[in-house]
Amino acid sequence: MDSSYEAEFAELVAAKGGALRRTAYLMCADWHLAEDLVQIVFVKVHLHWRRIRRQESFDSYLRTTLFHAFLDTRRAKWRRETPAEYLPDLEAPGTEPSDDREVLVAALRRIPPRQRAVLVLRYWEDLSVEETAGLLGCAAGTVKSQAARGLAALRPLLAGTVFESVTAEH
Amino acid sequence: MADLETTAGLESPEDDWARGVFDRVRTGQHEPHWIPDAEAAARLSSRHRTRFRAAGALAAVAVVGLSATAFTTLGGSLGKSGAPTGVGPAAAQSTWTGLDLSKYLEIDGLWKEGTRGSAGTLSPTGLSSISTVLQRLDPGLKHIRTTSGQRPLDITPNPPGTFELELAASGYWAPGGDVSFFPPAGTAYRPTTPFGHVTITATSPRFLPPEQVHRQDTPCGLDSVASTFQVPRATEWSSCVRAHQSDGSDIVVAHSTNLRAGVVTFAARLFPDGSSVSITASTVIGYTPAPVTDPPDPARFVAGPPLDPVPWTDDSLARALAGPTVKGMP
Repeated sequence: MDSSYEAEFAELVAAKGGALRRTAYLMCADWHLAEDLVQIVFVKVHLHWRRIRRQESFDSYLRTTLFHAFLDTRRAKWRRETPAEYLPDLEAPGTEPSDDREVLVAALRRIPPRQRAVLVLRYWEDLSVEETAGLLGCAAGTVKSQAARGLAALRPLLAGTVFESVTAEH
Repeated sequence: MADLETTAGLESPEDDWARGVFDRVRTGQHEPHWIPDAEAAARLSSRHRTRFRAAGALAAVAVVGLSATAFTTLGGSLGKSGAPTGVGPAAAQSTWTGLDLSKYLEIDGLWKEGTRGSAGTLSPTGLSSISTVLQRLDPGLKHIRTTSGQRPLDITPNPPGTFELELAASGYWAPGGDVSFFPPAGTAYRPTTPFGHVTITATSPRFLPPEQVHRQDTPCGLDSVASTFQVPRATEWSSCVRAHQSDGSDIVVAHSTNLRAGVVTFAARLFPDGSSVSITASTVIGYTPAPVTDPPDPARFVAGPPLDPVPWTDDSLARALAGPTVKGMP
């Protein structure tokens, strides 16, 4: 890879790193793991830089790679991840998350990972049902049902928080 | 099921609410400082590339060596005509060909590589045990279902140094075998139809052995009851019933005693080598609203209706684990 490619790559990392990490954090609820996931994405991007740098669907490639890295890492965890283990049990009773995002992340952790990923892609990344389906490699109907189930699980988890009566701004 | 029919162009109130929720956390949130490291990614990428090349070269040498050996074994000669030119395919992926477990259960594995976690493939021994237990719990396979979708189960041998520690398979017990409407779309997660939940787990001796703490709040003193957020977490259990088996293993079973919503039953077969196969079966599903406490408060569990009649007993779960076809993972 020549120096111009390296410069392009560095530019990409600087431009996309922060947003990818936020998306990763919503999926995995761990800033350090989120950084690892983003690093995995960038390693893969660098490996296939020649092939993918001109693709129009470059952002989609980044999200897809991040999603698969998230699922791979989840499978690899020492303790198999079950929704019960997403709970903030280790915090002392009465300890509340410090800001709105932490409240949302704590709730997302209690939703099965695929449903969580669908919610993040649909409502954080603002992807359409079809785009999400294409990214996840499944049918649009699956995305709809996963989103519906995820939202059905999320609603009660956010009851009594600032999100309960929130409305969309657009 | 209006939510399920929502199209990209016709957003539902739930979609609007979800967008509002995520929009609220887009700005002004505290997050740790971080600078992505392009050079580190490039270095790691280069190492991958080098490793791929080396692996490719070694594989080519191995294939040529193997071909030459086979050729001479079959009476061929490596004379001037040179080595045979055929190059066999790379090792193919092996897929589980037994009962299509993913139709009934969500399968999840846990691996160890060296001292770290890693992804791997599934143990056929574990899948076989789970298959046996599943068919004993649900003869005719009319009730246990998963909503996670079918997939091929990869049983390609793991590379040296990678071990599968635990294989867990979980599904819903639906009286009519129908989970197509589950969970109900809408704002309430609480199901209005009775559902149970079953998890079958196989572990290897490499898995950290169940902690023999003999705590009152764990079944049979084992800290290995499977839990999901849909199943109430009991803190009081019946006395443990233990049955010694002819192969030296023990089957233990206990059930919850402090859940108002239903009953969770735990049964495990503990093999002398430290491996195990266990079942955690709940007659009810629901959720625990936030904030969640530790230890859990079963009274706060919001439950759907329980299964009635209960399709298993302590004894039937114990019997499902008996016999030589149920084995822990190596």
